[in-house]
Amino acid sequence: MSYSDLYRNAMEKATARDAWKAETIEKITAMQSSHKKNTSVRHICFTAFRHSMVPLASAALIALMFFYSKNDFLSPSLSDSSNNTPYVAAFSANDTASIQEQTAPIGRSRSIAIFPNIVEAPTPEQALPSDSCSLDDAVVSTEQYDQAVALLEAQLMEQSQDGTLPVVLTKSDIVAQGYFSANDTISVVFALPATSMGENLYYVYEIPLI
Amino acid sequence: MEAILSPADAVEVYGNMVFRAAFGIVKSQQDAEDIAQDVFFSLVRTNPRFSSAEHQKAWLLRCTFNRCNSYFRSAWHRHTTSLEDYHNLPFTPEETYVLDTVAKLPVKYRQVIYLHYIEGYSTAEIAQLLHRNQNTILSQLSRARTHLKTSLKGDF
Repeated sequence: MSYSDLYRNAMEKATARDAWKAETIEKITAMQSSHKKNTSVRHICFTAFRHSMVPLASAALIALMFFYSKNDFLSPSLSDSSNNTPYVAAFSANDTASIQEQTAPIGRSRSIAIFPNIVEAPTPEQALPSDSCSLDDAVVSTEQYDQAVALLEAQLMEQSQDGTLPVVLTKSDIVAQGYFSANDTISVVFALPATSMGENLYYVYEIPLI
Repeated sequence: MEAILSPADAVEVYGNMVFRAAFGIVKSQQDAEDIAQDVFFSLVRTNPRFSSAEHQKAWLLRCTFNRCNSYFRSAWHRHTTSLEDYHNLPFTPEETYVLDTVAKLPVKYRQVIYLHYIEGYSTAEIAQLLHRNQNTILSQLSRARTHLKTSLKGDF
């Protein structure tokens, strides 16, 4: 028998204990029921913002906050977490301006959404109740958050310099206002200085955690 | 053409493959099980759109390797010493010897060896899956084989 056959045999034997599969399927089933609610509300929320349907967006956000605040929304393995309070308060219901959304072809950022005239977002200290905050099992530690902020600050500076951004920034202009985490992403909210139109810009970056 | 599977079905069909891919890299049964479980949770959470069953399989393997990389970067791994618990599995001495030898290869070589010998991917497919140049894969496979030949004193 060749060495490669021995390697194949050994790999085959390694899979003999597959109790983890039953456990995984059980957890997946639990996750799917909660995930469905989560994604639908998020979808309604972002679609509504995109089409300036502010009342609907507000309602969806309230629903989102409600879902996030319920322990039974979380998968069973996480329901024992005491720090479930997410950051979802960055968007105002009073604003009727249209929402622009654009794809960000940079780094690992998934998208940039610009939310003009939005109420003040919480500080990272307010958003981070302790050393980590978990909405699902994609736990975001302060280290991950700091890394994400550093990465995105660098990207914003780059965009500012090459003219992609509508404003020119200095390092001190970029302030991370908070974050929220769901569906394996961390979304960091940045406040940028007012443009010539007198609008305060808030940039939301979604970064996949994978 | 095979159908794209739901996450629960994917665990049944691709569970062993994902576990083996992780096991071949991290060398620990428990850690491989944790990584495999994480991969399927990611499938539920991110809900990616697949164009085919093959795309889904490749995504799972890619995700597994990414998770393995995260495992090696994790503080937990960097501050602990693995007991290499596969010695507790019912391997023959020869199989243990081969596994030990493969496990001593750098991770990038282990990935290529696993994909080529266990999953039967061609070098072109491996290049696509790992986002590397095909020539790089060819040389990595060749170097890995040379290394194994020297260590095992025979053809791999």
